[in-house]
Amino acid sequence: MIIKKEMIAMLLAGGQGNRLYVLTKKMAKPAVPFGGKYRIIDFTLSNCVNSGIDTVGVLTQYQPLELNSYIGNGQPWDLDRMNGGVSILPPYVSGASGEWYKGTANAIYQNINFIEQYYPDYVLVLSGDHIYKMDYRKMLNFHKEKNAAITVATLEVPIEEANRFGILNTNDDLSIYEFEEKPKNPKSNKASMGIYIFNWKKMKQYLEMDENNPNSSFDFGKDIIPAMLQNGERMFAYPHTGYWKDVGTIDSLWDANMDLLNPKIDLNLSDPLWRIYCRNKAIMPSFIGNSANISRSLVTEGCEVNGLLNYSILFSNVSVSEGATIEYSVVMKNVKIGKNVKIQYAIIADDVVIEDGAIIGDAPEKCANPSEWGITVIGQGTIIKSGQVVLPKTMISDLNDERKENE
Amino acid sequence: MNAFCLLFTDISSNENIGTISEHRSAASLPFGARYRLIDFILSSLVYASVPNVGVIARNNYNSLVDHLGSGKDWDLNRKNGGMKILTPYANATDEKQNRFEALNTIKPYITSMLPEYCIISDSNIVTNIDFNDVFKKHIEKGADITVVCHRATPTTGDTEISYDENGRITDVLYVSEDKDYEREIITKIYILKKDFLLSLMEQAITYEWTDFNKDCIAKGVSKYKIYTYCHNEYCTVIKNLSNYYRANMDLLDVDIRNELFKSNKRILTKIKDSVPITFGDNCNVRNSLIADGCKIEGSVENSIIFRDVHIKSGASIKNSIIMQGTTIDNDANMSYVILDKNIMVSKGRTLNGSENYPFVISKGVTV
Repeated sequence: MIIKKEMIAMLLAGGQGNRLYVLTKKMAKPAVPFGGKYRIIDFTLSNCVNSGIDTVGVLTQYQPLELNSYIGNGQPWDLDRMNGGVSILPPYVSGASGEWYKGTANAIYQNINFIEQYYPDYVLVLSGDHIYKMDYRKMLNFHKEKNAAITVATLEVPIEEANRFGILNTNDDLSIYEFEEKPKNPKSNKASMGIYIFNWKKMKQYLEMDENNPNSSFDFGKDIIPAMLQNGERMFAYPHTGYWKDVGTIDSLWDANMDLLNPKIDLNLSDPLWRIYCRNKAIMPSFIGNSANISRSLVTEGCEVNGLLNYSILFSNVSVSEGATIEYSVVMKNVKIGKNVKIQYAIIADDVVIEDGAIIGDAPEKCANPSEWGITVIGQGTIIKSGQVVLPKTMISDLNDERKENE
Repeated sequence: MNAFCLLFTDISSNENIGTISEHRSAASLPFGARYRLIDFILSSLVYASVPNVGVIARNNYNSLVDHLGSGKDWDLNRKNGGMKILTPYANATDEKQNRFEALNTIKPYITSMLPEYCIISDSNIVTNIDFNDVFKKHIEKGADITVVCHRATPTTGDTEISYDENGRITDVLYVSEDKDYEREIITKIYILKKDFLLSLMEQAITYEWTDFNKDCIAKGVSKYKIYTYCHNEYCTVIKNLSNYYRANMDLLDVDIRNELFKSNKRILTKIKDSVPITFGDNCNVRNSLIADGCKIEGSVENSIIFRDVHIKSGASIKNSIIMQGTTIDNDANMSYVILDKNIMVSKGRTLNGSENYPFVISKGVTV
């Protein structure tokens, strides 16, 4: 027996995340760790549950293993439901016609059967690579009030940055009359957040049309929305305020992590009314040793801190030896940091071992040539030898080296 | 493992942990910044694949039931077997039941068990024990009862054992005053055959037995093959406030931590969604164990800090145990204090206890 759902969510989590380089070698972008104990996708999943959406299809394609095992039965997000809950939807073969997801719209098209099981009136399309908190219920109310065919969530961005986003130009009643992807001369600063509510009947109609269009790139932004605009559908821009960040690049991922340490930035993870859930393990509490010196940092369970920590984030089970200094850095789980190691402005991925005296990254003010400076990234499982110096803006990954040898 | 477990959740009549155990069973006493005492034995049972665990709840089991839930966080929410909380029957009105009376009230559970052997244990034991090894030794020696013992300084209420070179117990001594030597003492973990347990339970009714150590072990040493299993890793039985305090402080020792929290046999506990620990600009933290969800802006030294504790700037905590959800306002000062859950310590307050007599403040109070 299937119970009708007013709205279900389809979460696009197949993105490869090329611009996160070594961090997404072995996992899809939504599975990338964030903020001490979370993954990027936790924010979207938690938003769904907190908004009362209990049916979420997660569309996976690229490196799904990590993401699949992380989501599991959905229990950490309370999405292990008898009716609905979370379903992982990889591309599949049906008769002779199976194929990969060709684009965001095609990914939904291939799962029409999944959606129709729930007889939804509305379908919420989300992407799993943004850090934000949002009540989708309010957006749905807006969508109903406006009697819209599609509502696009928008965020006001600084006008000088508007050329990096998909920009929606709207009338006074917030109806959309134009959509410009990365415009050179933006007319408005309303950026699309990649969050859509569709009337399911309309959506199905456009997905089917798009599928039969040989020139289509099967993308919501490039094909579906322009087609709907052209046909004069009722399209509205829902204004969202508050923190929102696309963490698709190393710099923005580092920025978003640092934002957690800044009390002036509105990204409170400990709000009891809007919790961010994640898959937790029973790890022992953190031990802070006699030679530790910590200021303005986040530390997750299982850490053993004996060094200096300033403006940094430690994921679980990180050990920091005496004399080590970590500043303005993100250190992911199970990392071992040796004595007198110095880490500045870096992202260190899971399971890295940094032996005594190594120096990783540097402060921007120490760099003579600003173009040579950047965040240093150490890829998963890499071993940094004792005394090794890793310059700013460098990316090191043992996974890389393995591939070279094979080639 | 071909054994089920019966887990007692209260403490024996000769043990007293004071106000912190007034509103909760000993099993659900908060310990080590994020655990409850029962987590230790329960985790060891899980790692030994013990298929059935009967948790005998008798009184004040509200917090225990809340902690254990369906047993999911220990992977014990099984269709077949898993954890079952055995609450008292309505007609078993006597709160001061002895262990045999308690066992007799759950006789239907015991007889329904398919495994051939039974582990009986208290749950106020802080250790990470390999039950598979205990079981193996029990079978190898052909014992009727195996008693897990550990080396410690006996205090009042402990049972000392003497044993021969094969580990067979030859005599036991009930300790009536604190000693100054180390000896093997009983931890209150036993293995025996299910059928043998049922026969002992019948004898207990007949002869009005009350105490497992005195009546089964002491009276049975010559009659039955009773062996010791000497458990040499870290092990503390929590039976009074000062040893509760000391066992918590033991966790600040790196070797003890490594022995107790083995990486491949983590201690399992109820999962909560706390945020990582937030350390403020001017905090000063030394030699302390801190759980997720805390916000530390003041100074903390030699202390155990549970989840969601907020220590504001200027406050100073030394040698203390602060349980979940407590807030310590600016410039408050404390040393050798045990604060129960959800306490509010006001600005500038000073609270001091001493090492052998920590100052305890009970749940929910504003100081």
